[in-house]
Amino acid sequence: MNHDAKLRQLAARNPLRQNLQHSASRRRFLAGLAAGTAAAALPMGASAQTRTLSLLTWDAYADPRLLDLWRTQTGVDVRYEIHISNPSSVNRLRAGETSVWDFINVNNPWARNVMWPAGLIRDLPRDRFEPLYAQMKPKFAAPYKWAMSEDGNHLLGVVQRYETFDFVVNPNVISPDLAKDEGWDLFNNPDFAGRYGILAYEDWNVMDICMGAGVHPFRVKTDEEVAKFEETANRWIQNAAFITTDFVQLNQGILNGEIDLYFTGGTYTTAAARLEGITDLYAITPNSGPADGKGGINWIELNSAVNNPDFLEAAFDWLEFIATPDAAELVARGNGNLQPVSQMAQPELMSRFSAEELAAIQWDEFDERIANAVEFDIVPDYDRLYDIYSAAMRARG
Amino acid sequence: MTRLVMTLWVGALVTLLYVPIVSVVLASLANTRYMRFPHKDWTTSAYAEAIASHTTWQIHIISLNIALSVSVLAVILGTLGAMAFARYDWRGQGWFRRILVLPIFFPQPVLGLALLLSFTAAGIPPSWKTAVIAHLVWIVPIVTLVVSIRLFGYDVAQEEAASDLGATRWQVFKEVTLPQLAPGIVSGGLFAFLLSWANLPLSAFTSGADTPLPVWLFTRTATNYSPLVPAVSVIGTVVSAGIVLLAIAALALIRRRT
Amino acid sequence: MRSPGFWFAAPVIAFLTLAFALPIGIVAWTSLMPPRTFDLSLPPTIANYTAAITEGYGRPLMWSVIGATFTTLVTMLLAWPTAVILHRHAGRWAIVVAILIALPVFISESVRLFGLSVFLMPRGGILAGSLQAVFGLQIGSIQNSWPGALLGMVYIHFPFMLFPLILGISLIPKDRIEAARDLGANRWQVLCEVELPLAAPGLAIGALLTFVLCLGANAEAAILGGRAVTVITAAIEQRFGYAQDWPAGSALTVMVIAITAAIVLPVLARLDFDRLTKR
Repeated sequence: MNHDAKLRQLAARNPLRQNLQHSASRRRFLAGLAAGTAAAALPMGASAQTRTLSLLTWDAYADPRLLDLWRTQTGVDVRYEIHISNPSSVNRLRAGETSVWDFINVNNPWARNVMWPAGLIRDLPRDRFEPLYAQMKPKFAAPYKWAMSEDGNHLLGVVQRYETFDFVVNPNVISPDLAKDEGWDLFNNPDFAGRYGILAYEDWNVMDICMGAGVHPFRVKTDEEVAKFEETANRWIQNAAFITTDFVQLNQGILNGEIDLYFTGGTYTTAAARLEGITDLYAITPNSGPADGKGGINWIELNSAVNNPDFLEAAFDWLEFIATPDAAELVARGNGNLQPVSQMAQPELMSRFSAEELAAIQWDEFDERIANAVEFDIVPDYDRLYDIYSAAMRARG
Repeated sequence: MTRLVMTLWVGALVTLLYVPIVSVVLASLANTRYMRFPHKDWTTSAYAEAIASHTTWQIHIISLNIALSVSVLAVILGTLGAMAFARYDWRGQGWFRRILVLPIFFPQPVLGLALLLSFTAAGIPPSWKTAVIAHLVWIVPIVTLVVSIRLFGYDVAQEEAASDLGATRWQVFKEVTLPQLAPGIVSGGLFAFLLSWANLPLSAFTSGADTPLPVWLFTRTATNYSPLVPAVSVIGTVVSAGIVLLAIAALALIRRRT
Repeated sequence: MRSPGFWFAAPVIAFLTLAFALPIGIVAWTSLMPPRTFDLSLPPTIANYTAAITEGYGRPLMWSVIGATFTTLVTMLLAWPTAVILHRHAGRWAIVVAILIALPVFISESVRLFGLSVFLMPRGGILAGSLQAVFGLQIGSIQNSWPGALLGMVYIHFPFMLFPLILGISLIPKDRIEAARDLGANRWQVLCEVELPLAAPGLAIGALLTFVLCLGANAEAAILGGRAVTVITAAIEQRFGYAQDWPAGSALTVMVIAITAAIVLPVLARLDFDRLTKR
């Protein structure tokens, strides 16, 4: 048995831990104790795992409280770099950074469609990790399609945060009920030309434009559908007030009255602002749309172990750790941004969130939003559609 | 009259240059992510958070390691390069001038990715040290150009006179050439430090897991902005400015002694 | 024996051969691979170059060239009088002002642009918010427009023009200007006949740096420009990023380098600094 897992269990079993978790000196004491136990339990030649656990991760997992909890529980040091988009991190791994990182989290299709086939991530032992899925919302029951390789044989990660990611309106200008009914046609409405922004998460934009063009994003497209996509892409990109990769700018744009709505967006882009008491931002998932009658898209974050040639067993321990209730709670509140996590199926975990927090993530309608959404999938003809989309961007201005 | 105009011009310019900086400082004194100026509450809590965070110091140490290494190496290589670029006429100089500027023609994000691929091919794991090499590829040409300016219109007769008086080559370089180059070298060193300290696109691809300050600031701004970001920026500026002022003071002291 | 020039060049040449030859080789070779592949052992093709010409990349390139030209000219106009004042008239204040101008550059570009955008933001921005609070004035904003991006480019690149220019102006001997004045030259003639040629190395190198850096600039159009236009670096990043098309991105990179070289190198070669500065 590897010593890190053992340590973690030791620390977890420690009766002192629950009560004294917030005492810094005790924490240091426990860390010292853990380190001491490690030294005693593994006398010689066991220092193979001296490398720091390295995370290429979304910001929520860089929360210092989460990292401190991990260090206390395992004694393994950890470092991180925040990543800004799925493709830029995939590029870094492709270019050779698999030797640097142990852990990466991306949205489901990027893991399944890009990283696994390119050999950038390794599969997880199913007997060890599938039990984690039993602690989650029922929709994630193992084997959960989006956590598996395309052939269904390999478990590629642990799902954690998820939500629908569609568009955001200023509810003082457009009532949420109207927005849900209108759905993507809001952006086709000439009245809103120049009154909306685009968050350039570009693979999402492609799917949204499909929705707006009345085309199922995850079906193979006919030439006629591609033509509809092209017309919509040109119009939507031309009519956007501004386009940015920074969602804070879009939220500011709504607060400043520059725009009334933007796509793509959801709880991820609005929760921190709503928690601050800002009422001008509201995440919308359409009631209906062209994707099997649905208009929303649901992303699922997949946490994976990088295929590092110098594999660190602690990477698996970390994947197990983030699914524990204490860690999942910290992830859900990561660095002050709120995001629903799959473990919210557990009533005990749910009870830790305040009414204000739940209002910030629009929890009362969360199940409805998920029900009105299709799961983030691989877009057939993506290359063709993306080329149309990026050509429309170049032609802007 | 003209004196007044000149003072006004320089004053206005410096003021304008500081507008964004003052804005960053003001943004760091808010307690909200979504600022509406003037703030309702003014607070320094972002600074308290920044100072207490281990990450703040780690990213500064990494950035300092990179920027100081880059400055020293770039000044040495750039000064030698400038002699070849502008002091001497030699066969191959035309090609040297052309090839030297090529790295700065490269869009930086692509150069960063290409360098990462090269390090991988050479079996060098990316870390802050590879970031130093990456920065040098881009900064050595710039320092060479900056130092070269002082060498155009340089009077070779001084060197010849020194040689005639029996000075060795090294003495000529040290006593005659270097003093003439000094302002260029100081400017070049300053350029090297600040270009490295503030670089984002090259570091993002080549520093591996050693996250430097600009990368942290950028990623945090893009994914989860809070007043912590401007607070860390202000701390970073104070640190780097302090180091440069110290360096300038040290240079002045050395000059006074000799 | 080789000339000393060669020996002085040798370390730089050695360094660039080691650290730069491989990256440029990789990019050049990747640009010849079939689109959207990651394998470098496929048969070469020029498909990416034809696509680069036919797929509407002219517009982004045009915006980049316009932005670079505009920024070079404006920074030159701003930096010349500043450099003259600092070098000739500021006396002991020169070093203080120079340090004051250099300090902001120590904040990384994205943060300074963020500061500028916080300042320019409509309504709750620092300018608009202060005017509203103090004078009750409501104003518009140039944020999220191409002029906003240009303002950012001038702001970011001003020091790249100024410092080389100060070095260039320091090359002008004072007695030359006085001699020209004594011979009856007016201000304009002094500027054109004496000052500009003598300061040419500084001016040319400042212009070279500013122009080239602006051609590759991306953050200004992204942060302040609201992507009102797409600049060429943004178009290239799209190929490498969401398109996952490294060969096409590489081909565009090679073309940008070639175009930059075609604009800059002839100018650089034609400027015979020695003749200009020594007459």
